[in-house]
Amino acid sequence: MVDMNSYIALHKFGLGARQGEAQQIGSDPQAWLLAQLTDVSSTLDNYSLVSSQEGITLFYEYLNARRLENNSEQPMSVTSVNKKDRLAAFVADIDRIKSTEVMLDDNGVRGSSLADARNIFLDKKTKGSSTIAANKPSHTMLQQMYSNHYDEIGVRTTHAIMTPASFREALVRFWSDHFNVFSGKSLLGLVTSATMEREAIRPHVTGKFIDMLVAVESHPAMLVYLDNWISVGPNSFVGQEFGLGLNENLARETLELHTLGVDGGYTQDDIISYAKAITGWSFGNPNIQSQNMGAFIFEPLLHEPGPVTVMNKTYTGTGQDQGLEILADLAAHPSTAKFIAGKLARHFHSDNPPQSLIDRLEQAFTASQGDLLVVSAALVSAPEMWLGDFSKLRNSEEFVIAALRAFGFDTLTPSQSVFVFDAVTQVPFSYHAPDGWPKEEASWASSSILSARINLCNLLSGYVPNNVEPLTAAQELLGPILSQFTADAISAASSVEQGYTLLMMSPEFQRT
Amino acid sequence: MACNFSFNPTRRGLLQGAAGGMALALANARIGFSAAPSDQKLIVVILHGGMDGLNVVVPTFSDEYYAARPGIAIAPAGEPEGAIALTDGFGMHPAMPNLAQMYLKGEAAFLHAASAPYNQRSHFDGQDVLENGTTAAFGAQTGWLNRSIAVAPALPAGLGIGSTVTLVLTGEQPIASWAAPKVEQASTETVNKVLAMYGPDPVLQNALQGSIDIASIVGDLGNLGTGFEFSARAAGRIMSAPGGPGGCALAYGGWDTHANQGGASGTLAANLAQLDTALLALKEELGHQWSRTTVLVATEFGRTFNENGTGGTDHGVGGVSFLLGGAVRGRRILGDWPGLQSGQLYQNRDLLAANDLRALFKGVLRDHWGVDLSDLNNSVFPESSAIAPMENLLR
Repeated sequence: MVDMNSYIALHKFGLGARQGEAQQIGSDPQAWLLAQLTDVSSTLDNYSLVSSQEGITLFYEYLNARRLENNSEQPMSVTSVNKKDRLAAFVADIDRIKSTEVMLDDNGVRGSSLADARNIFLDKKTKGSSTIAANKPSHTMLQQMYSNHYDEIGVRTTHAIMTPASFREALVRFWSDHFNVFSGKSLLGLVTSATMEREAIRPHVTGKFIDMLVAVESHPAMLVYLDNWISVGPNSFVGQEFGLGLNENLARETLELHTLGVDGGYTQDDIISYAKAITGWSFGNPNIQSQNMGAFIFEPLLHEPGPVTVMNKTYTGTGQDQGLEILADLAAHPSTAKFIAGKLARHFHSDNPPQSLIDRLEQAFTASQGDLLVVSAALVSAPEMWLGDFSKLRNSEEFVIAALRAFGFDTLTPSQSVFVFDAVTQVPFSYHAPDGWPKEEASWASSSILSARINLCNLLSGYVPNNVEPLTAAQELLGPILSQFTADAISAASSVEQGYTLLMMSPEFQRT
Repeated sequence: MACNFSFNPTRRGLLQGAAGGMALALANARIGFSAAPSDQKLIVVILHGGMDGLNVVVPTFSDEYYAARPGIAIAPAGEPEGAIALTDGFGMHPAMPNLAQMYLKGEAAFLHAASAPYNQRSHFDGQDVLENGTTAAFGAQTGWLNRSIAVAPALPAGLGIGSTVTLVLTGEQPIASWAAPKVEQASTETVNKVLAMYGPDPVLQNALQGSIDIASIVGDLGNLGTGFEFSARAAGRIMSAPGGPGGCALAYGGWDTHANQGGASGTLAANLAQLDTALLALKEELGHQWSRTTVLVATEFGRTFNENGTGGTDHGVGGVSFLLGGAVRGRRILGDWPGLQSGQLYQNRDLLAANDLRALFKGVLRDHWGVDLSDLNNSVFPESSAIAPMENLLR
């Protein structure tokens, strides 16, 4: 008999039980969870995924191809040796790049590709459509950018379904949402958003918070999403020559959402000062530091010169170190520990976690100077997590992954992965605002979302890879969490498929 | 059709001392109905992508317009494939005969050269500003329609159409939601068995009951039409049910016509025809309640004045908004017209946004829902007291 704590480990910490998994946990579920924190397969290094650097390179090749196809526009000047010409070309490009903004449907997926995915899932064949003629080189490049993005979603989904270390995957998702980026923020967003998780989040998920913070704030995905790549110091060379100015978007969200929290004690002046400090944080492009194409760069010609003061401390650095020093202080600020602790507790415990849990996590964060291995371990050992509270409603992505794990959907194609998330309105990297997906129950317990979940379960039930009996599966997957009331409902199903639907839709499966 | 609505708007529930936490959960799932007999319907349609206003409400009096758009301009009324004559020298794109007729009958008015307070030409930020009601992207995490519901005296219930409720209607006020099914629907028997299983979980039970209630109002999906008409017809049916919601938001995309947008026919025309059909569908479904209905149609920006090199238009600033419904004082072009001559354009490329959309929205919210001016200036459109509501929009 597997005890309750194993199921708490599987559902409340991890992403849901696979059949047979509960038996493998052994007598010490906490040790089982702690061992996951050092799992290295979660880096996803063994899949030939395209890096953000390669993605950005492809994007500029696409842009150039479009220009050559539309004779009205001049190709980018990438050969000029004159620095000012090249900077002028950089400035001229900004509007053009913005207008590559991907027009996504309500769920952040391109309609034609989604229709393809749906038909693939249903074993139907269809042809996609695009406004670009299929014989143009740019058409192939555009398709490649989408395909790379879907591959990335496919791999992270399949990994989440199959991994025996799903607690670590849950942590990856927590941090990825904490640093939310949007795939629809221009085609540059498409080629960088999903890769940011793999390049900046996964390597640090049990490392130091400051290292993850720096990796994220200097990643092209974040620099694009919150406009820092085109934020220019008014007194920098480019600011003076071309009349460009500050964009404080990234600075604001770094303080409000990534570190201190909205009541963390900063002012509008602090935002502006920090925004000045990180001017010049950009990435190599055809016109600026093209030798570092697609990689992070610090560009002095964009950087606002002079010292800045953030939260009563003056930073006199003259290059990238100015911003880095501020980030280090933000990461170490007591407000940051408090803010992160509260978010972790609400994510893993419930919408209204006990204050004692928040305090415990805050203390671990502070005492370890933001060591996320220590903070994650503190979550595991927190008694509040083991009291059998299953009130947290899974969001739609968590629900889908739990369902796919439960029935071993191990061979989904990338398109199928995108399709199942779209069916319940939570395609990864498609949330437009920087605060990440809604967190509270009220956002997910809506009539339209529940209805969509039932319809998806109904569909998945027809494709369950093994032919386990529904009640047996329920007992296996939920153990002592399963109530007699729900067990009776599943037993009374009029077909095996309906039994699976009832299992996945049961309150015990919807909540953790 | 027996519709058994529960009545659960949070605020009133709390005022009446109902169980606090439960009221929120229940209201989220169910269509609350307003007890007020004079239920005023307000529907907001957000056109994502930036609709090319100059080819929709066409300045057929302008030589500059025809010079700037040699390949895509809409001919004046009376010419082959020409516009439908409105007033003041403007013409309606020929793909929108129903809207033109509403205009001519006095049920529609158009605000041209209008925009939310945003001029940076990004869809993503522009949509955010249009819907969050502030002057900055991410300036608020909730939408102005949701915040209006919170302060409207009649406590209208909100209805979101679409699997993702568009930002303008999201926020603290709970709303009902309905979305076209993306995959084949589970059978009624299965849904009822799931519902029965939710006895011990009232939050899920009420959310699912709400879904069943709404589905029963919407009825046969087969006679809802296709495309955007499908959503509009569903919205109209749900709103016009006895005690149905008073506020609703829908989003419709596909307006980003950078290339080959066409003129009297083509990509833009096809989208306009869908929108035209959908607006008529709203009127048909609302039936006698149309006389108490106001529909606002807005987009995040207009497009460049000049046709571009690929037969399309790029992101601009000033666009056009529609105000229609039985409650509207129509047959009018509203606001200021900044002109299309050299020097009158914004940055020498776009129709100037001479009119702030917040003035239109505020005028409607004040006169249709009775929202107090101080609420409009502070909570609904924060720090907007400099933007006065437009007057005499409604009958």
